[in-house]
Amino acid sequence: MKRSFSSLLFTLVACGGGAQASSCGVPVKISDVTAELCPDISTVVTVRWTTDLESVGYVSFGPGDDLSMNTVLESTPATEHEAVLLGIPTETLASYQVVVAADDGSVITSDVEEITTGLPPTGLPELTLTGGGHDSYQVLPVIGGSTGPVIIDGEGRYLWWSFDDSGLDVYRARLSVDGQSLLYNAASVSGDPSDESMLIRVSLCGSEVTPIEVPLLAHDFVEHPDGTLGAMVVEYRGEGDDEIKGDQIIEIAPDGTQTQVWSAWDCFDPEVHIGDDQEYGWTFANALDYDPVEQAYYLSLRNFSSIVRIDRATASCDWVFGNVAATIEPAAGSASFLHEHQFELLDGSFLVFDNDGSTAMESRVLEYEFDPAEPTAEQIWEYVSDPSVFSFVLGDVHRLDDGDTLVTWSVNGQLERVTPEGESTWRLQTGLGYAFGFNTVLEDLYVAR
Amino acid sequence: MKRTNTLLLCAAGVLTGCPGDQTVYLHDANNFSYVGTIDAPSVETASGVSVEICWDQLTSDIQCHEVAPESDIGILTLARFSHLSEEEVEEDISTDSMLQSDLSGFLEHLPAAGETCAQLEDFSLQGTEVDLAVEYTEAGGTYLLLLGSGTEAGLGTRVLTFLAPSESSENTQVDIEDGCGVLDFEADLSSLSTVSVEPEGESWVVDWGDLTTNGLGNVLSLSNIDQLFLAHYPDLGVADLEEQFLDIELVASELWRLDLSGTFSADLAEAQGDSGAFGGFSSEGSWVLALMCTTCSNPAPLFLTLLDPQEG
Repeated sequence: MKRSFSSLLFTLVACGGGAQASSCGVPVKISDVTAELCPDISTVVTVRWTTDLESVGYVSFGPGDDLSMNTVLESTPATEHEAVLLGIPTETLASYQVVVAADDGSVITSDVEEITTGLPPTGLPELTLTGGGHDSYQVLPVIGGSTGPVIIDGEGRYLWWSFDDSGLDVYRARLSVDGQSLLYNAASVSGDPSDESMLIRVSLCGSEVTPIEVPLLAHDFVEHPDGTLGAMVVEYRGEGDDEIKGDQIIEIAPDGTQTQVWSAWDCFDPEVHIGDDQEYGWTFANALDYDPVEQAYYLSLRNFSSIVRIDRATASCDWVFGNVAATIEPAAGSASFLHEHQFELLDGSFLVFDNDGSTAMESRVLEYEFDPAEPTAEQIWEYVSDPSVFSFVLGDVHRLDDGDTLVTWSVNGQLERVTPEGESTWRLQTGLGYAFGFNTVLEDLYVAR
Repeated sequence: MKRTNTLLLCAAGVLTGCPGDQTVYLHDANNFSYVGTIDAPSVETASGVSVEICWDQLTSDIQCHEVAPESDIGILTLARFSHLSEEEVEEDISTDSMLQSDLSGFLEHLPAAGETCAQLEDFSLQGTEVDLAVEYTEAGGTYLLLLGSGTEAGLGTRVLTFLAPSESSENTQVDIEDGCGVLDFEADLSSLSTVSVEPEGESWVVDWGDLTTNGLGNVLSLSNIDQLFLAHYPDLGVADLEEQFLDIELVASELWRLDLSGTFSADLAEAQGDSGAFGGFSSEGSWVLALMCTTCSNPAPLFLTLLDPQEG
């Protein structure tokens, strides 16, 4: 599909030594190909096969006779193989085919087989689709009568789901960087944070659920390329009437070690930097991004109406864009954002989901031409849904490759794709009673994240 | 496809009561239809301030069932619709077509045990207080107050009333009126095709995988079906059931229920009633089979039909 097939071939033919040597020069035979639906998630298929020689392979699959989706190429040569197929809707006849390396550098394949996915569970909200032309995947929580992470395709079909029974809310879901599981947070951001909050890892098949206890979690978390998790966590300092509710960033290493990498007190002073709605906390962090190349966190501080760039290594704040403590403010004549949530720093511009900045009772997306070196931030785009909606919390925005923008009006249970000209071309809405959390948008479920 | 699933399961011996046994396939023609219209009262109040809401005089809900004010009301929810008039809200509720995006905010309040009055300023957004001067205003849109049983906002609604904040009003007192009369509900069980079933046996598998529309004529989402009930009315005919439809579970002489998940078929023999598992049909009176969504805001069955026990 989106993955380059030529790169797969290149990898497969590279059988130059080590453990792969045994398959080189000798034809590999595929046998005992089986497929079964995962018991807990009826859209997910586990394919197993055997090869007479150690080899690596993958599975091509798709709805109908389509084989354009590919699982990730195995990294370790073996004779017993397993791959999990993710991306097939419910009640769908799908085809699949095992692909392994042959000794001459080409690939050999199994017969094309078929399997029909199962029924959806009860409790998922009904979705109403308007428009089309959106082929990205949405990894996000649904919040309502039932709560938990789901994956939805561009046709508004559920591909994956898990129900959270912690009694907490779920705000963010991400496919893990190793492609083996889905991660989500279970936390509480209304009133006091929860001591019982956790990050939860669910295997793609749904059968293995592994909680990672992280008390006082806030809305958002990220995963680094090496599997380290970075999470927003409430931090209290002082006692009694002098107690201040700030924020910190905690990292959870793959071995489980938890380390504070940043505290609001590293950059800000509660005596100097005073936001609004102090009764709900001082800084009130509410959204988190991470740039693995520059090793920088980007953190939205709701009560500052500011977004801060944090150097991971030094815990210093390189710049603050917005209102309180700002080193970069919207240029004269540009709209300001208020109580923003998610955002996206692009090459030369900055997208912000602005919850409260409009004078009308409506939320909006703002885009600024953005150069922190200047520093400048001139508004260049704005989008308000029609009819307008007001998402008093959460909300997300993502720029797609073709220049369109995907907006998640979280509280309103509405996902919307918008052209640069402001034309709404695709809209997915929940029935009454269900909201969305933050939205992790993926072009391919199998590309390393 | 759905039928294929069942047949495959039958072939695999997973399901009992397969074709040739006593599987009953349900179709849209077997479904009842209904029309329900809402005409809720509207109380004008002062704008931008708290008001006192009391339900101590409440005696009936919208289904005309009795209400004990001190014990039957577990949650109060105030929903705001910025772009809908009161008439449009009533229409969307009646046709079950409300979207989450129609809602521009809601507040809730869980009254303490025995409490029959509440201040609007005590309502919160999942624990977060709001500024009524900003959020409860004449310009804010249409406000619908729902009083429900349980503690889940939007579920188990017993009565509903519009609150209309007005700059010209000084009223800060809202006394909730009885709900009986707010809902005009007409069910049609006379036009449906009854479903023949074997009176005796060990299993009665019903398969609803071919259903496409609910009793309102809207698209039926099969994954919403999470419970079925089977009810027997020895002394009631179709006209009686239509007349007493809002009490259709209450007036049954016996009711068997079965929770469902991830299936388009079930064996009635697994449904449980007060006397145990369902064991067979008698010939007298009426038999009703209903498929329910217990998590939907609309409590009406998604599917309901009359069963006709007949020797094969």
